[in-house]
Amino acid sequence: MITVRTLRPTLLVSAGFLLVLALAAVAAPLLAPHPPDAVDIDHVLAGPSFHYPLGTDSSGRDVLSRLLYGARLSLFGALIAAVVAVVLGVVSGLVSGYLGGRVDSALTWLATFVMSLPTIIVVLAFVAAVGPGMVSTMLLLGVLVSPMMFRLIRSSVKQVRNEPYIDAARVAGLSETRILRRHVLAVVLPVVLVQTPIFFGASLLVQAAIDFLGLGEPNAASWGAMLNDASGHIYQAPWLSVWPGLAVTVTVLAVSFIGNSLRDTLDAPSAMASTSPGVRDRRRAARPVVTTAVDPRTAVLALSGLSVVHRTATGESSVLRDVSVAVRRGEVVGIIGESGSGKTQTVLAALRLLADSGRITQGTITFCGRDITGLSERDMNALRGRRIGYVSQDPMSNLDPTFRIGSQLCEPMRVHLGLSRRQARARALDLLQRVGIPRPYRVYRSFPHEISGGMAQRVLIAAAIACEPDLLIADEPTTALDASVQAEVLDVLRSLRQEKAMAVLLATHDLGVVADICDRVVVMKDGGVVEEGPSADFFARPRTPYAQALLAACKRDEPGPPALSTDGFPSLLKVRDLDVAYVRPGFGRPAFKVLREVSLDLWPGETLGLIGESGSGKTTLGRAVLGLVNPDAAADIRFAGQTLTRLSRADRRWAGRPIQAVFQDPLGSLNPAMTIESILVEPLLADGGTLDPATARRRVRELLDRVHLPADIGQRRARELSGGQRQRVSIARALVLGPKLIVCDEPVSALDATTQAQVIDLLKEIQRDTGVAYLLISHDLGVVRTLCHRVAVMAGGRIVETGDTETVIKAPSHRHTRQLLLSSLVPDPREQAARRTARLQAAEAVRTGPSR
Amino acid sequence: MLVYLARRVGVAFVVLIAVTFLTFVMLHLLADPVREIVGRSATPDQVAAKRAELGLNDPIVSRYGSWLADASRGNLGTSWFTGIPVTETIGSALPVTVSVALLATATSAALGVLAGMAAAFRRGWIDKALQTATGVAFSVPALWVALLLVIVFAIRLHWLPATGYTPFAQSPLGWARSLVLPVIALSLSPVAAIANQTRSDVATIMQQDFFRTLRSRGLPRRRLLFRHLLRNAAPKTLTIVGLQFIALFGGTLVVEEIFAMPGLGIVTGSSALRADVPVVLGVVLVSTLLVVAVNLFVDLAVGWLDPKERQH
Amino acid sequence: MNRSIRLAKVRRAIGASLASMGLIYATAACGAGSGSSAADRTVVLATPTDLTNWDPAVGGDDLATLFFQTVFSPLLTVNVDLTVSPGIASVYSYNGTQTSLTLTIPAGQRFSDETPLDADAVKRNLDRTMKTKGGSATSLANITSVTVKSPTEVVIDLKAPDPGLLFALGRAPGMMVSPRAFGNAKITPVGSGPYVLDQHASTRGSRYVFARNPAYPHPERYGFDKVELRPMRDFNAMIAATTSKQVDVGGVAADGVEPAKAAGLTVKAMPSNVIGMWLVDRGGELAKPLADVRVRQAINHALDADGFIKAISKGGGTRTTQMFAVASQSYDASLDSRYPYDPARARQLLAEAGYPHGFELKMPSENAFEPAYYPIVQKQLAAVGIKVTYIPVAANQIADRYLGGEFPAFMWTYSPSDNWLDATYLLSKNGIYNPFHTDDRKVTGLLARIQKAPRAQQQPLFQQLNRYVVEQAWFAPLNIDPVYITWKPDKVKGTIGDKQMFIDLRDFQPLAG
Repeated sequence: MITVRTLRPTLLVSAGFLLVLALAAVAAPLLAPHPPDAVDIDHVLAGPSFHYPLGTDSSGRDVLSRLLYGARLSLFGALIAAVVAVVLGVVSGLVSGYLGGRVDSALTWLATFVMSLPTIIVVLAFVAAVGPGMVSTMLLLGVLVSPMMFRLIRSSVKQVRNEPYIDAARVAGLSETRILRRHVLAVVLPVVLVQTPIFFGASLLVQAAIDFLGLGEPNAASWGAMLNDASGHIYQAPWLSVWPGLAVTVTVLAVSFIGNSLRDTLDAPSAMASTSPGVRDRRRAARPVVTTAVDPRTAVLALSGLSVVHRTATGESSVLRDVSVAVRRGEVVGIIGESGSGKTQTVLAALRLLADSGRITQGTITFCGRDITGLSERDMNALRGRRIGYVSQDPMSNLDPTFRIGSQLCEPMRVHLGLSRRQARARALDLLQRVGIPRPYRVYRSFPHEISGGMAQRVLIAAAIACEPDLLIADEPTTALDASVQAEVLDVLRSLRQEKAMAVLLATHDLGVVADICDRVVVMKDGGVVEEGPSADFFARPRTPYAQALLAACKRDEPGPPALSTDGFPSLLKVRDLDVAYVRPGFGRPAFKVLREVSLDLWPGETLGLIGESGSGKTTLGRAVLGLVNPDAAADIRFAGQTLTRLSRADRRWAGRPIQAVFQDPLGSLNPAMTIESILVEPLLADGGTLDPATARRRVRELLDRVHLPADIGQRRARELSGGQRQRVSIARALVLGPKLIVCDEPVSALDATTQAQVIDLLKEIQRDTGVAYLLISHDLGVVRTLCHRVAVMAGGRIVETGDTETVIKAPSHRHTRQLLLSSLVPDPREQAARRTARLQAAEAVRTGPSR
Repeated sequence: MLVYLARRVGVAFVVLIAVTFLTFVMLHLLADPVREIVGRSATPDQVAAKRAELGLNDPIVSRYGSWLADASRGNLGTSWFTGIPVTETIGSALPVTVSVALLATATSAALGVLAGMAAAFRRGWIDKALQTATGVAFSVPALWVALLLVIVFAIRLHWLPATGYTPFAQSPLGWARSLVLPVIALSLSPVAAIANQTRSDVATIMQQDFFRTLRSRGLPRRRLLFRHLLRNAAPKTLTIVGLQFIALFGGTLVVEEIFAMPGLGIVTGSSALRADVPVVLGVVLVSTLLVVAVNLFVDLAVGWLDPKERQH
Repeated sequence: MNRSIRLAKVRRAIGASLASMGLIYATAACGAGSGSSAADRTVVLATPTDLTNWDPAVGGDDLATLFFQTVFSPLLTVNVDLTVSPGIASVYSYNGTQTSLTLTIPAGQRFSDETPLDADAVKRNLDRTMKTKGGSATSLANITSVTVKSPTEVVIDLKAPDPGLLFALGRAPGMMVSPRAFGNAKITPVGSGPYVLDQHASTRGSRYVFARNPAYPHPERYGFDKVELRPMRDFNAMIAATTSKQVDVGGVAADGVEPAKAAGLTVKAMPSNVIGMWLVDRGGELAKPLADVRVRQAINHALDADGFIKAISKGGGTRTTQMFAVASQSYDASLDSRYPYDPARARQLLAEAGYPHGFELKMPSENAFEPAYYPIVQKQLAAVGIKVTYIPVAANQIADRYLGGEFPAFMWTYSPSDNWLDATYLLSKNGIYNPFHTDDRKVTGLLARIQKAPRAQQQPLFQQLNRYVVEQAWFAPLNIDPVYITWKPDKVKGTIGDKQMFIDLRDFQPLAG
């Protein structure tokens, strides 16, 4: 977890100092020139001399010797308090955070109570009653500060509990204690590592204060007692306080440096993981294509030969190489490529919003004929928001959560256009209507968390176009949205282009989006442009093999497997009258029903697709089957004839072992602290596993082979793998226990198109080989079509339509299904145009008159 | 909201009763105060009479009950030693401690937030320098700093009074002067704590998507810093400031000793050691009330600052 | 020695010794204030502790005396040589059997609230004090009745002669409170002293401001128009306030002498405290060897008093072997050379007593006492074979555990005052500072004779008693540890005698002109 490479010099120096100090404390009898209590009545409060290197104290005792012996007492005392606080805090925090409920309430109350105690009175009263004693006082101190540790641990445990990999561990049939030990503790450990030094340092300081107040043992050789002695003679021997003062200060400093360094070191990997796309060093440089289609002087935006490097822990890595892209007025240019190909970096470079570590090494950025490559931040700010608008991916995280939508919308207009509050507000409401928000005032008054993702994306667009910019830069503007919302947002962009002749630079990995809206396409790979040209040409005749592969991976229009004949067979999974309600916190709030009367059957070897917009209940249904949410009492879930709904926790765990899961977030569902092999071996060895470790490990190697991963991957950790590899690991884990059913919740939606295709093939292959059944949750009709025998369409917590895949897709019977189908994009401009027309007509028909 | 408030107040009430009862029992276990009250040379008869007068022969629960009944009517009794009503003792000591603690909190909040934001925003050497400075500030024992401050600024330079407290009403300037050194000594550690917290919060916020989006709108730096960053960092900052205030409030004893300020710490110390039960209970009640009130205020304020919480 | 319990840090040696600053009134004569009074004549005095409450009837606490003497007048006056002279009572006389004391209260005296201070007011005060539970009542325990003979005459009848009574009437028990203010005596002081408390300008615990009492008959004795007392609980705070000249009159311990002189202050030492080891288990209940007088003498020889003076008192103390006050009639300078530092002699005495290899001794240690003594005492006793183990004791438990007979010996500071009081406390069988109730026939006999003797004939008896106790080595006193009084010579004219043990407000007068 911590490698020598990542250790910082401060950590080494601090740890070295503490080590030396500890050794000196242990070896005090050897090192100290005098015993700690040896008095020299003729040399009281003497200055430094050969005999007494640091002088003597008020009893004529050698300061250096007492300092050395003092290290023993002080460090030991602080250690007692820190250990008590940490042990109490960790145990209670773990219990409280993991179990929740009454235990949690009781312990939290107890912590509040202890924290409300007036510490000083308690210590005074304690010393008064028990008498001065370092050990007893430090024990008490540990108890008094333990609630702080409790709170930290409790909150981090609560956080871990919601991590997908805890769900994964549950699904794998691990017992609570094992999950607590293996998974939760691993996360708590860093907190403990970071906090223990802090508690230790604080205890040292408090101990000094206690001794200073005269509440400690008289004449004890501790630093606090030395400070006490020095403070009594600060006029005669002002330097006397310097030594113990410095000893305390430097020790606490060293200890807190260790805490800080540990925190930074432990944080570092996750921070790196979050910035990994585009930061990886690429050996194979893409051959740059010469683009001549656009004259930079006439373009709104032109990047010419742009190269960007990022500073990383291991040196500089190049993320953009010689990239040239240009956008003209009224033109939509799409930048496509797999994740990590440099799309986002290109977009951010154009905005001059590269991360602090990034730097343009070559090339120019021209905006409306002006070179803005080296423009000052102030001058850039005059352009950003005013003449260049930016719409980002993931709408929810791109709105400031603490300001109302209205205020965020008005802000750029008031800054750039100097509008009055009233003018800005009128215009903001106008804009909201313009981007298709039905009740603008309500949204205007809302906070970001109060609106849906689709609304938020529209708000972002509204904010980006508020000052009527010449150029709109959009980075995956629709990726996080449901199909129908996606289509509508694209409609908004299209109309903007048409009405205001706005230039749009759009980065996306979705070729459907490109087919829908882009005039020209720039294909990127490994930080360079590999192909560039009109959109129609790209779809019709991709020139480079990379572009061809990209396109091929997206085109999944081959029909899926035909429905299986199930007559007469007992179903594998039988769900009846499943209701799930979430209880909202607080008194008297009605429970919120997520699933209503859901019934379905799934046969062995079959894949059932669950489709529907977000919030329709797909995921909750999957989680109910996995036993991760509790259904209402009337529900019945039967697996292979046996009920799952009325079992004890342990029985449910055992009965659920043949049902495994693959989750959407491949990184989150793998414990970052564990190696791949230990993640995979765990379910085999834990709780009733009969295999010996060697066999288990062999099984794991076979599994890795089966999911087409190299065997050496077992020693690595999740963050060192690519997205596709992680998902393969997840699949391998689902297979470990030889399941009959795997619930796949959006198994490929976080992956690139090419990787998606590979994982889909793998899923098919496994089904063919093992006869496992899949319950596949997806919003992507293409994926569903290639994989599923049958589909169930969900809306508002109900299943509204079920049937053979081809039947449902070709002849949808429910309005929701039709809407879903029309809204989904196809990577073919001509077909997409047709679909769009059909969708708009349908919408028009709904608006003009409810004929159907 | 009302339900929430009612629940919090209810919990606070239970905490108050539990804390005061625990203190009551603890004091009971201390050395007998009666001999100290009547003097060393008192006869056993006098001791017994005093004991009866103070009600020390009654069972502890009934004594606590009658104290609680009086306290709920605002009557905290009178000191066994000084005969001064406890409310008056606390009334004269509380302003001292609150002055010091509030001023130190305000100072450290202002400095800490500014320093933390500067470190996160500017990075580079400012960040490194501040990190080191806060590290040292956290590590230096406040009592040592206080001693050094007295030596340098009061005794050597004669710039500021070494000791004592001047009430605000008596002389606002004197009040301010008497607080400078104690506040400096007390502020070091909280400044460090608040600066570190703010720094990491601001750094986290700056890494979030919305911050980049805000930058993409060409907003001036000052607006980014003092509107968006500060507003987003506010809940956590407020939480730590509240914690620091509570810690300061409890920790003024050392500086009150060094600077000879007649604050609550001194009252606490002397009354706890001689088991002056009414005074200690009064102090405990008031300080617990303060802790509970500050916590409640911080929670409410944080809830209000966080729009997601505000709805509940 | 009668120390109140404060936070441990506060005390050390200085806390104990400065406690005596306000203990007794000094000579009445010492300050006839200069006539010319400037518009603002304020004197600021630092005191080592805060006042507990304003009621002298409760406050057996010596520390309160400096506070009390600003507001109240006592019936009699105690001088720096520990003699007694008239106060409110202009004449006082005992009958032949020393059991009836007659006080003459001159007419025309008034409290600051205009209430007459006559014989009736005196009786009501004494009656109230005797009924009030506290240290003052204990001092008056021998009184059977107080009778008003006339508005100017009071007679106090005693059940037995009480040589300490006159002294007590010069201290808190003799402080007269206006009968109209009895009800609120703890909080609002109304007396007949030179000053009245300005409640408005005062901050409890921090500063007490006093203005002149217009009704006081001798304003010329007090030169300052305003007096301010500032309690400074912390040792360093006191030095800091003194050397930074925040206060006009202050007190420092040995450490503060040089800084105070460097700051241009006048520094005067007062021989107020006796520091030493108390060998209280003279019957050998806990430590058998202590029962042998030779062992106790050996301990006296084993401790290097001059070394302590040099090392800890910075040369400022005086070697002593006696517990009585330097200024008192019992004190005999020749006794101070009785036990020279002589480890060889100590070992010899131990061997004679049957402990050639010494013995083990458990002693308490606590932070209020100057902690620097402990390791040195330990070392010096170890040098003659006595192995000392210290047991830490919390500040609040000192009195109970030390005086409860839990330890055979301990280190402590004593502030002696009136010989009779010291003798009854330290030496009588039931004296509160005689935890093992050592009952020596010779001591008891001498005490009985002193009690009955007229005051003039007490001195030889006290000296005999003192000599006997020193010879018996009931204690191992080390040195007289001075309290250093400092004042600003450019503002204050201070008058402190060489043997003076306690300061009086009148010791400090404004500079002439």
